[in-house]
Amino acid sequence: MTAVSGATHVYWPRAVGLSATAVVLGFLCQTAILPAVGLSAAIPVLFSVVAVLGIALGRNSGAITGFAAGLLLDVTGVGVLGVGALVGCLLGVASAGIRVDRWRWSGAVYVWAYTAGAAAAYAAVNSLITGSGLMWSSGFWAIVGGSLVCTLVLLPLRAPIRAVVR
Amino acid sequence: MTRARNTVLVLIAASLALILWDLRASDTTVRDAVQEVTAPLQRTATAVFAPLGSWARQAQGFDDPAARAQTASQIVVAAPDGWNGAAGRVVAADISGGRAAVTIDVGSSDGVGIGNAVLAPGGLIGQISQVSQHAAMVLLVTDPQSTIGIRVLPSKEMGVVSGSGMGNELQVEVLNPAAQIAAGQQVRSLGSTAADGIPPDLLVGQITSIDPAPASGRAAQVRPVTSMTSLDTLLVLTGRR
Repeated sequence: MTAVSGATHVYWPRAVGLSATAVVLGFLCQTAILPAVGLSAAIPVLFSVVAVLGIALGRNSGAITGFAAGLLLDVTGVGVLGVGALVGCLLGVASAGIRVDRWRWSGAVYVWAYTAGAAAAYAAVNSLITGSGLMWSSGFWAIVGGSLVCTLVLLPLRAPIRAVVR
Repeated sequence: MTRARNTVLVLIAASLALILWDLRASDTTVRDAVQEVTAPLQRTATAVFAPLGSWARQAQGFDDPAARAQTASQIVVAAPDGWNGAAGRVVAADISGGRAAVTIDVGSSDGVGIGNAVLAPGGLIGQISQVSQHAAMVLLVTDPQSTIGIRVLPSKEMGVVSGSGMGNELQVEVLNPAAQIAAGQQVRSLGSTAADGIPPDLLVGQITSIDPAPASGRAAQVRPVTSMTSLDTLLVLTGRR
């Protein structure tokens, strides 16, 4: 498994610190900064952060980071506790399997699709469990467009992230 | 490999357990504790980045009670007499899956309680759904889980207004199938008997169109008093004086 080879020789305290910082920054960006500047809080900044960390740090770290990030969204939002954690965990695992080592556009497309899929799944599962039904209002384009922008901005950071944690 | 797989399986099991626990218990202790930490961070981030956005914030020193009162003054004008209010500022938004809620930076230490009415300039925009010491979550009228008793003026017909997700108009259902309601009429709150609930006669919105073939009663679309995506300073009615 070449995809997980990035996880070898990781200096763990630094990886944990970096992941925690990235998650908190992504969380603040999505829930506070985006609404403050007039953009939709449905833009999945935090899930994009999880996907990139999954690629940079491997499956194990991706799962843990995704779980923690999703749980943070759950606890501070109106959704059901655990839904975000589950989606984040699966996203972290899935994105660790994406091969973007050389800049191939297919890799970026996968990251985009996984991130948008995770955000859509998070919204859909919460809607179904709370009985409010599926609703694709203004949030749809925020998820699709927002995850594309986030992917393009965050994906190039995977190399610096690896460099920091080694 | 096995270790990674075990970690993933444990985390998935933990997520599923959390979902079941939350659906059964609905305990807010953990949420409150985390919001005590995240709300100040969100508030700082909002304050730093707000000048970049369209939310014109006149009051830079918002921690100053006088500045807060001044910003809230245009809401206070429309608020009913004899009620105590706490002015708060939106520090975060959650609009996942059509849901519509915002976090404000006042909480139980300012007298805010669950069920309190929340006003923006123009009228009622939601109700408090969660409270911690220094933060509270406002369930907006556009949230699908929000239902509020209303009267349509001038006929005073009673009904219920419910949300259909962020960015969509509200749905109103009037109890009387023979009610005479028309586009342009005002929808105002029915009022709750609780001393800290929604006072009567607050403007909720204006009817924009009537459903042609209602199943029971009369259904109509209602435009809320203000845009829910640009909320800034809000007034919480904490209770009768």
